[in-house]
Amino acid sequence: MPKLAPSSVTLFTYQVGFGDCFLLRFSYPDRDRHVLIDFGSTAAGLTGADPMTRIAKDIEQKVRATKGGTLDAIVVTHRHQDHISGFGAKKPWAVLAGLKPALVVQPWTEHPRAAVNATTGVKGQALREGHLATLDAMQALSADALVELKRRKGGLDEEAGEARPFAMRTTDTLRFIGEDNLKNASAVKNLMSIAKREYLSFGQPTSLERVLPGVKVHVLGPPTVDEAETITSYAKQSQEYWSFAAGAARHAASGKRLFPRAKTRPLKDAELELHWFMKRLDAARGEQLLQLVRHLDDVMNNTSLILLFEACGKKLLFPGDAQVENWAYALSKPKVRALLEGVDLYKVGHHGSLNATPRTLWGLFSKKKKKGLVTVLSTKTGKHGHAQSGTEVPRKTLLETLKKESELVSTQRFEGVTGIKGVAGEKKVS
Amino acid sequence: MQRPNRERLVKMRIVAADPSVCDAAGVPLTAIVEVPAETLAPGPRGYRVHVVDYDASSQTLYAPVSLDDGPPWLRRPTAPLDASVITQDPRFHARNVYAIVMKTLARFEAALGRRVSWGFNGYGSRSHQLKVAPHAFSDANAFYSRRDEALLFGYFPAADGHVVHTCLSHDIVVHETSHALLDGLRERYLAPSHPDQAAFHEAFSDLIALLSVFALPELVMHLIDVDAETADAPTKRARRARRVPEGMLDATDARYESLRASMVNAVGRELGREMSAIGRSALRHSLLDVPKSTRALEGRDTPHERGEVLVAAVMEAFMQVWSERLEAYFADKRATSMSRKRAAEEAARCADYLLTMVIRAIDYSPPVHMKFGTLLSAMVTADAQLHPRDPFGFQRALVASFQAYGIRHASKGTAAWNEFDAAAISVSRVRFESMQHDVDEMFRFVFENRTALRLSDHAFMRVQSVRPVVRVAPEDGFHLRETVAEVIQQVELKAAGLARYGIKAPRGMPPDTKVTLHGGVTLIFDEFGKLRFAIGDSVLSPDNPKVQARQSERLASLWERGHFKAGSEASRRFATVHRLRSVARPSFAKETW
Repeated sequence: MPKLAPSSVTLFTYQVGFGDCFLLRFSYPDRDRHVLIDFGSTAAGLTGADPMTRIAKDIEQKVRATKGGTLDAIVVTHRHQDHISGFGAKKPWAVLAGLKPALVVQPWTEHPRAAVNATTGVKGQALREGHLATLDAMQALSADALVELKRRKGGLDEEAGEARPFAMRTTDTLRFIGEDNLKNASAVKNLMSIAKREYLSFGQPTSLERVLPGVKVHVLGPPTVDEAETITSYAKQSQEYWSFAAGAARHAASGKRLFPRAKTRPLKDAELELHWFMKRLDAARGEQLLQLVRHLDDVMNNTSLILLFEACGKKLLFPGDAQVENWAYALSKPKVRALLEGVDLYKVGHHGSLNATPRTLWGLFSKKKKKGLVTVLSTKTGKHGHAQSGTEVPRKTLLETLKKESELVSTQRFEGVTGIKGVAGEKKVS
Repeated sequence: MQRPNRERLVKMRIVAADPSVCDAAGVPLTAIVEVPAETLAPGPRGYRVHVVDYDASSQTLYAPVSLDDGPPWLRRPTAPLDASVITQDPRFHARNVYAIVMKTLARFEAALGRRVSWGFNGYGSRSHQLKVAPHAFSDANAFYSRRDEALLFGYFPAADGHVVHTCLSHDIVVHETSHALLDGLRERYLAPSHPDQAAFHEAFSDLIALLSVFALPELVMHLIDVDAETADAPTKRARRARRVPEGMLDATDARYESLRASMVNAVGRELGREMSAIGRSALRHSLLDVPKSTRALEGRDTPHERGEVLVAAVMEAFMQVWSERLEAYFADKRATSMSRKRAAEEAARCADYLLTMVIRAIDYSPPVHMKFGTLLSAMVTADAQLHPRDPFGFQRALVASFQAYGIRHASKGTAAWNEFDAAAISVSRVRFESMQHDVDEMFRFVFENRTALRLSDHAFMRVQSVRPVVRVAPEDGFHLRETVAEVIQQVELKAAGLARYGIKAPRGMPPDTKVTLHGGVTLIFDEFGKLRFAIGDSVLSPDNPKVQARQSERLASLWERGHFKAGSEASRRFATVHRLRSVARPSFAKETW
């Protein structure tokens, strides 16, 4: 009897505003097997009531569309809200849980602490645990930054009799990135309720191959902190730094005066010669907070799982939001580079930001437009970064290259959620 | 109360290193320094520095501090001072930053023999006063911001809960002040160029900071004491065997190797612990992490990593000269030991001398494209003008230590700049008297002599500054009068047009990329108007292919480092540089879009 293998793979791409949600269908002679990759949104651009539930229901419908269809695995690339928010919401999760997913796949950084401790003694263990602590510190920092932002925006300074909000652009961006980096405890809890879970790093085997017979799955990222030289060299210092940065943000969020007994002056009574500078300092504070959350946003993106599926003689690459630092390790391996040459479908990293599709990676893809390279971009313009500083998402220069050198499918061309039809793009490779 | 007008200097007490460095009684080590006397307004607000104690995190404005009333410790430098005042009284912090910033400014002015402007003077504001916020925000960062005309010092809770104030770290305050001053002396050093130039602002500021700290005998004395107590067991045993008397340094300890080992030990234990966590302890990193090797720069790509090598090379010369000076105390073979206090004073003298050399070097540096080897040539040349006999031996020691760290000087032949052959220079149509302060007169001179000066005839050219200088050699009272002028050249081209001028466009650069090339020379005239030195390069030079080769190299490196991407110019640049230094993030610029 020939080995069981899929006869075709279909990718459903959902328009979730700013976020990621993909459903992969592997059609086998016995039944269709499905893998859900991420299920999150920052809601921007979605219409209608409870959009995530409606998407969940559509997923359910697609899974059940053929006889015996199953949701075999959920891949959670990393912990950003725009990738996991749906897992934490009650109704959508109830729908997904009803499909009885057999497996949850996450990056090593999501390993519950207790289990990590069980392997103490492994080389690089201290560094890894430090990294996990850093990620927690970063999420706390985001929450604190939002508290400070709120106090600035809403809270009137009673003594001054005026609000001193940050500039509008600073406020908007801070809120957007800050909220994306908030901890989603219910998503973590819900995902933990699935019995079979695995936490992967570069090069590890995955049970995805077991639930998808005849499909090869390569884990190309993230590396663990002790593996990647570029990361190890600075991991320790950077861990120390982030714990201080988080402490500082916590103090700032408290709004407490540093010297409660010192003589102060109501802001409205500030001498004339101080007005200009105080305004500048307020602005500088906003920019500094923004710089901090941008940095931690990058670090969080770099915990993304990078998965390469080989099925039906095709290669499908899903790198989540991995940026250059995450990619660097995989790209330093000649075998991986060889593997990446023949990619047929590429989920554009991090919604098309400037540093999530390393030029080296793009250079490796040999198929490009003439030979049918498909690129899938889940994004929304105007939400992230600014053209003026060359940080807009999706990055214009990258977008132009994607259009020119590949067949680009962008979620932007689909409508919002209302009337599920037209929400999802569908791409079949056989 | 008005201070007596005749008073030129006043004494103020500052934190010698940072509050974690304490004396035997557990009180943070302080030092008394002299700063220029002036009639201060509350703030303190003086003619060059305005302390504004506004905390943008808690939106608190602390009352401006008057140094004329308040507790005795605020008015008198010798009044007793509680440890709690140092760490917990914002008035002490305000005075501490005021005193250190003013002292640093005065140190620059004394070394350069003229008034020195802040970097933002000339950016539309023409402001003379640097704003200093000692508790700007709750954040593990401190930086100079040209746009805000300010030094902003953050604070953050340490692991044990006590608050770390960057404004109480002597070297951080001097470091930020040095950025503001260097920016005033050479505004183009913030512009993109060779990787060395990106590192130079950081390294220069670190050097000024470290040497300022070592110029305090109290601090060096403390370091020697710390080593006596904490040296490893074999060292202690050996000292006991040699019967070194209490509080003394013997001939063996005064030798270079032992002295260096002592300082590495003491610095590792005492200095910069608080700031090390945020990557801001230059001395620790350069002394402890940079191997003394001619390949020290290899693989060090980020500005702060490169900068540490330059700092290490200069500090190496410092250790060398210090030990040589101590050797003299043992010339008489009957002398077996010397007082630690004297040894510390020698260190402070050496540090002070070297500090002057580093600052003066800026006048002898080109207006653009600063490299580490250029600093060496500039230091040696500047010092030789006043001290041709190299009394401390620093000229020799610096050449040797730079070589040991693989940094080559930038001159032809010996390390010092070659004197300009003034025979071809025409001065018949200019008046030197007005050339000493008038940029238009200076420009006339430059234009008249553009061929002799080997400046490109087809570039935008302007005189950026003209500065008359009086320098005094304290040893012999000899005065050196000079005039220093900066001439800048600039051309704008498309990448496609570079080849025509002998410059290689970086691989992959789109042909329509706009490229700006810079060049320029620093001219130094003696008191009779004779041109002594012309330091730097024309922007383009058809006769000298090396000029084009250097432009090609810079372009390639800038392209690699992502300079030609939108948004590479940061508005609060040092905030970013320092933050990156803290998070120690590697750069992957060429992989981005």
